[in-house]
Amino acid sequence: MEERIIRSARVLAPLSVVAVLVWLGMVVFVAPPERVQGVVQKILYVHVPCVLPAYLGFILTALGGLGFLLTRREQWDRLAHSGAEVGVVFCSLILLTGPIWAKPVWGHWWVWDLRLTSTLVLWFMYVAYLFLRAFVIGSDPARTLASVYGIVGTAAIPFVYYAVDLARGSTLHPSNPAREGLPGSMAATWIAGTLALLLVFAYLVARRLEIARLEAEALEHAVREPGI
Amino acid sequence: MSYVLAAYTLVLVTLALYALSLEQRRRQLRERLGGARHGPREFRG
Repeated sequence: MEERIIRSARVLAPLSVVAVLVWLGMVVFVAPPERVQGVVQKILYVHVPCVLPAYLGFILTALGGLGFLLTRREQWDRLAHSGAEVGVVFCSLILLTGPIWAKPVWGHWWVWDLRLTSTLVLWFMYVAYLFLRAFVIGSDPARTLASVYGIVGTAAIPFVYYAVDLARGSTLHPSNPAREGLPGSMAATWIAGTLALLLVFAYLVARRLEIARLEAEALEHAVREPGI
Repeated sequence: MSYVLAAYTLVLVTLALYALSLEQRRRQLRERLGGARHGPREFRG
């Protein structure tokens, strides 16, 4: 499976570029400026599509962790690590593009409401996971600990997703777009953005996974040849 | 409009730089391992 994911990067790279160009074209030429917010609303076509890749990255971390705990095969652990890193990149983009939209619309870069705060906590959780991975390299107990951490961490995702509902009107954050139902061209642009960023996500995971495997091979060589 | 440009530039530049850094790291590792497969001396260099 690992080999197949790594090989898919060759196809995913050109597909991602094309999908991103189509998406950007739709943002500029297809999606109309929103009535109330104006052109600033177009930021949501990049902010919202970053959400699914971030969640998927963290779900991959849990699946990889589960696979490792069940099989003790390192390739699952590498998948978990790769998912977390790419997930953190997309989660960072959510946290950075959100305030850029919020400033002109809300008048504030940041408010400490449930959705924003829980997303920030989610980001910190997976940054902590990456720190854990960076400081403890290659040992089996560390992989086990990281696997359990990765599995437990996904429990935060539904909480973040439903935070708007849980806040019961006391949040400034708009409700989840799929439930609201966007009109025609806006929905198409949003879907194009989601697909484009999912392709980019898949490409980045494939590349990161290859690096993890190459690093494991390099470590193996270093152990076999101690003078290196 | 400047907010929109800032958001899209941030996302595209971040993803492009991350992808490039992965490509560079991958190339370095492949070169190192390619050398190692031909013996320890090459791997060292």
